[in-house]
Amino acid sequence: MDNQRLIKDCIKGIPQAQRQLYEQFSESMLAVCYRYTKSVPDAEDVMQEGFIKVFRNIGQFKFQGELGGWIRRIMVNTALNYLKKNRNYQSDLSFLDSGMHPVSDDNPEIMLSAKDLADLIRQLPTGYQTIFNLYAVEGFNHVEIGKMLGINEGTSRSQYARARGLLISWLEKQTPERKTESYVRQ
Amino acid sequence: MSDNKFEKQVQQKMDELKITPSGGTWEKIEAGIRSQRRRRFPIWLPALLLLAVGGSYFVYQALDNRSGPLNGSAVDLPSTAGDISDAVKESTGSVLEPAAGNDQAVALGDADNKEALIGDNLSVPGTKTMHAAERKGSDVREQAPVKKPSTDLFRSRRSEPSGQENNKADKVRRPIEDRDEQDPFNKATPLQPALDDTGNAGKGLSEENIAGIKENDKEAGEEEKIDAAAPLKEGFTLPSANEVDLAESDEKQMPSPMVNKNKRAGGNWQWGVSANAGMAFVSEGAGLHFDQVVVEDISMSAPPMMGPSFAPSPPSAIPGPSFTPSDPAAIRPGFAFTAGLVVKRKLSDKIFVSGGLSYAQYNTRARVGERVERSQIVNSGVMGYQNVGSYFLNARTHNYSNRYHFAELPLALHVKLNRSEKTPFYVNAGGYLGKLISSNNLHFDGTNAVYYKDESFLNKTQAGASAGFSVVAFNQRAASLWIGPSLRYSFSPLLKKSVSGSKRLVMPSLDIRLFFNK
Repeated sequence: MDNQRLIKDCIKGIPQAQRQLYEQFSESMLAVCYRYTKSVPDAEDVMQEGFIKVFRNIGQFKFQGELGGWIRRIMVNTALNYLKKNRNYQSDLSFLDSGMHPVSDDNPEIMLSAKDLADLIRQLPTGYQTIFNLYAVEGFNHVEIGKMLGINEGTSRSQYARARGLLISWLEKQTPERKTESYVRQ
Repeated sequence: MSDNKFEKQVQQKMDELKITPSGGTWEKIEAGIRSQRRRRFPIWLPALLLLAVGGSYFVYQALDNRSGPLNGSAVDLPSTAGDISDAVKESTGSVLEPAAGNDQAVALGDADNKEALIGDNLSVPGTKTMHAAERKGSDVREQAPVKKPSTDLFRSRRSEPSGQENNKADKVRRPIEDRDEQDPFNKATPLQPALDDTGNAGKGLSEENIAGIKENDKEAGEEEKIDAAAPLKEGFTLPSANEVDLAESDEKQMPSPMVNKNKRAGGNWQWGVSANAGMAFVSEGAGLHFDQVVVEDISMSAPPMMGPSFAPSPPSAIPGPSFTPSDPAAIRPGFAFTAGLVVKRKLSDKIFVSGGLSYAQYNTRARVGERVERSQIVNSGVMGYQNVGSYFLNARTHNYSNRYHFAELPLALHVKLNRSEKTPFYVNAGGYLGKLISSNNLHFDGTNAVYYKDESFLNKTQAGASAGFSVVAFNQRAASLWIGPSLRYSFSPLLKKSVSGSKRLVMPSLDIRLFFNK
């Protein structure tokens, strides 16, 4: 069944189609949610909520792009809302603009598996983790991230740089290469 | 998006990442979907059934009028014991004498009776009606008893001057042959003058009138459509006998065939005012689904994943309203009304068309949080990001009324379901075209969990259908009042299709129209 037919059946509320759509995207969407949360149950909660939104709003899908991209966007938005709502993340989800941010030119080769890299990203503080995911993985720019999170563009840039630097340092601990890092005023 | 090698590696790695959900996840999602699935109780079904029944009744009536004289099932029966006695005497050829104390005899001898015959259907179910062809040359007194008005009917209409009544054409329920002046029945019984050829009290009929009727009987072949249930109005001049299709009236079990004043005025426009008052609902989907309808999350309308943004930088560094419920508020019904001018035109005895111009206001309600007078960048989905001057928090602390102001052009067809002219009953069906004048409708940004106003998301032109029933009061007075339930359903989505094509305005209401009779 092609996606267009699948979507139409989902709009009609046909359970088999919904199940098929879920099975088609659940693994990749759980991975998205996994990157934004700190635990698998939380990721599954986000994914559940996200899929419910998907099925509720699938009538709004305009066939202007990939269905997977549309679902992924919903998952990201759901994850962001989840972080804002959930107490476990609230305290860690603060975006303070230090005015200074590290600039790293390092582009280390990532030797880790996808899962290990995701786990490494999840070890970042929630604010860093969120911005890192939005920028490096989802592809948003800092203006967009600033709007999504209600923060200044510069704050987003700063937070990302710190997240990136931290992540690279963790990665380089596993390699003999030496990192280079300099600090510049924003 | 960064062009750095590092970011590309991360992106590539993360795209490869797949994690299998634990068992039971789908079941939870499915339960969530089912619990949030709108109960699709087809509340339109009663309205549809009502329309179907009304339509069937109308069709049945129309068919019945045509096939009635042919099926031969209708039999004229005397309505009282006196009638039966009369019929027996008639059939045996004996002289008909009024029974003592029989009001019916008095009624027959009273000219006032004519009006009673005129305005009401005196056809008793089961009354045998002779076909015109069968009547030729037959002895009517043996075939068809005389129909007489009920006593109560007669008594209730005694006030009219007899002189005026003499000029009125009367309903003919008897065969033409009954009017033969050589009829021994007419000559021999004291009731003879009481019952003229048209089945009415003939006491007041002059010989000239009788002669005139006879003359016109010969012209009975000419057909003329007559509104049988026409009300008698003051100053109303009854048509002469030649306006009465005697054969037609015999064949149909219709009340008194009269030329209606409305018939003469048929085709004229009739002015009036209209008003509708009811509740405005927002329905989601193609039918009428009101449950779980929530404020539209505009941020969901965007195409998959945002591309590079060209939006300006946020005007402030103040974080958006975080830590609030992310689900939008439910849309609850609110008061709605329309008011305007309407014109009506008669297309036939049973069908009218009306149109007009009206103002409509629909209100729906939602529970939102406090209003924040601060600039905020909101995610408007397909409309991109925009800066709003104020917004409402996503809480459930305050009532907010979404108002939609429309200028509308309604058009409706009214089909009469009954025969009464005093209290006609109509089924109404039509449509309307509306233009949005203004609105303070709130939209939801699920990303920032805020509500904000933006009229540009709304579908400015709305087209819809309306259906309902009306009973008419004071129909014979200066202004007739049409009142009844109606349902308005907008076919056009409330929001632009690029935003959401699923929400529609629905308004069950009480429809009131006041038409000024000329």
